[in-house]
Amino acid sequence: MKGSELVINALKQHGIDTVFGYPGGTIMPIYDALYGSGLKHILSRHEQGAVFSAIGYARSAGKVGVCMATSGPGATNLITGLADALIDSVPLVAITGQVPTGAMGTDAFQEVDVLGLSLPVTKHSFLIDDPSRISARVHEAFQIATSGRPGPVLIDIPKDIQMSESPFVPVVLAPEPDRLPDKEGIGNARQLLCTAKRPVLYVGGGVGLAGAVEPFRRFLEKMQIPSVTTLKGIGAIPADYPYFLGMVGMHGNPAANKAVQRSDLLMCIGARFDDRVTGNLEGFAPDAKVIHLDIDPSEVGKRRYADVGLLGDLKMMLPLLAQPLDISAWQADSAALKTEHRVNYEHPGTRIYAPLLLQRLSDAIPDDTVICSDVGQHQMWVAQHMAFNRPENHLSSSGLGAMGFGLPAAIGAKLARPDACVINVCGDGSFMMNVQELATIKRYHLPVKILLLDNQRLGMVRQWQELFYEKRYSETDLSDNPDFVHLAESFNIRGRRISKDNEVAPALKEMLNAGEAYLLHVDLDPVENVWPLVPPGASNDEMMEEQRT
Amino acid sequence: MKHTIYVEAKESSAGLERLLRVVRHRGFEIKSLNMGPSGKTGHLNITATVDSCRPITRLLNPLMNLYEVAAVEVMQDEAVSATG
Repeated sequence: MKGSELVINALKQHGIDTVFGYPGGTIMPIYDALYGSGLKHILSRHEQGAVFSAIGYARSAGKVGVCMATSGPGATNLITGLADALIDSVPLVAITGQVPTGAMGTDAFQEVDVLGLSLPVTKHSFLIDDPSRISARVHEAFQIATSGRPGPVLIDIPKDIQMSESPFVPVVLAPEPDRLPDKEGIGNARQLLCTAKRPVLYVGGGVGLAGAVEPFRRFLEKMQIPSVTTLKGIGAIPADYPYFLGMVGMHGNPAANKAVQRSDLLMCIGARFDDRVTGNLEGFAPDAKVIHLDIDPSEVGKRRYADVGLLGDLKMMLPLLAQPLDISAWQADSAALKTEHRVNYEHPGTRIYAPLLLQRLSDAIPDDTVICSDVGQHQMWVAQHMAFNRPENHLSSSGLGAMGFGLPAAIGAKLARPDACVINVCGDGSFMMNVQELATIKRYHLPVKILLLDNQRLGMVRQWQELFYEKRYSETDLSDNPDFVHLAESFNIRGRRISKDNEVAPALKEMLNAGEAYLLHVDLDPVENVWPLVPPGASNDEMMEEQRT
Repeated sequence: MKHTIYVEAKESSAGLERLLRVVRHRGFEIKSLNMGPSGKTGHLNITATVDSCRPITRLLNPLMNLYEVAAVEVMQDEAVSATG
């Protein structure tokens, strides 16, 4: 069997039925083996589109995403997506072609040291120099990508290795043994919990990644602890949980930030004390002891000392920690904070107010809807004003903050969950970063919805220029954007442009009822900012809030 | 502060590069480095002296997360060690 056929066989053995990619010279043998193999290949229009689609596929369905690219520029175009998958812990296998082994190290055409480039952006990477190792390496890649803290693994395969003959040797897939919870640590954590007066749960993406949403919710039901979430943890806490205070951090809900700041015990579940969450680290939850639950030892104690660190599978640890608590006064305080900081959606004038539009969208969408946001103001508005009940229904480039993520991620999500409604909420800057993927939507007739919030600016940078750079608006004006509706039409995608508030309800209805791809272009006031905001370097006690006149 | 660390790792084409990259990225500077075969087939012993104002645990756990790394140990009296 040829090396290229071994690759395809190994992918199939792992249950892979869909891969994303873009062919080129050095990966042609694998594309040849793919032809007629039964594997579905989605031809993205840029390798970055392919890797973001694979991430959207993986995150929306809890599967492993697979993408492919050729050597040189094909591989370098994957790098941003690999970095995204690493920092957001997404299980991904990327396969790249490489120049033949004899040409490696000679600066050959389309030769780049892909293994070297991959080191900081992957959980692990392989260069295969022996065709007899292909099956084993692919299986190792899947095991590494999915075990412990998930992440991306890259396999670089020289063209001659893909073309070499080698016998097929089946690999036995063995599950990794579970790490048993530390009994002493569990006891210490239980003790901290039962003596705390003002505990807060700080919930991250690890809950969804661990497949622990249900055990977490049973834990929450029993504990009734006021809870906050990170951007990636959105959806883990039910939106109607009475003590859910919203997102914490730079653009978090003031109720969430105040509760964390007042807490005497912070129970961090699958989160990592990211700087966008903590603000000034010294001032973050200053009176709180910390219980930190994670699968990755390198996260515990990395940025904040943990009084108790618990390593392992959340599904096993959370039930051991559940116990009723006597915190009724703190629950009442938290409920009052939540009421005090309820969002005011009243807005003067007839222009469209993005937070209100997103709140209306949230009310209108079916439960089985995946929202893929890009990066910027609209991303924060989605996090603040839409309700999510599953982590896999909210996809965003959280740690890397990669503009251009949303559209290809939505393509991946639609392919993984064809019955779900999938909406890319994007800004005009982000949309243009991977706009070529409209061609992928057209080619595969994918009924992906695009809600384009257009303020003709790089809005978040503009906001910082206004607030922190003396209104010196350096290179953030995008008022020469194309006509997005006409652009979409050229890809056979229907669209509509709205600019007044009274157009919002019928336009959302039209978009949601369309049985095909649809682009809703929304004109926004360029001066709208995301509120509240913790200024850079400040503590979460120092939130700036909107001053309405 | 200087620390001497011992790492046992599986031999691989980019193993040493990967390890050195993590050392640099986590804020440590290599002052000396020795590498040679270990008693175990296909394994290497690496001994490095690293310098940083950061706590050594910031380096140990990311090193342990590397796929090739089998064990990491700080060779000091007040040793903090991790083994896997």
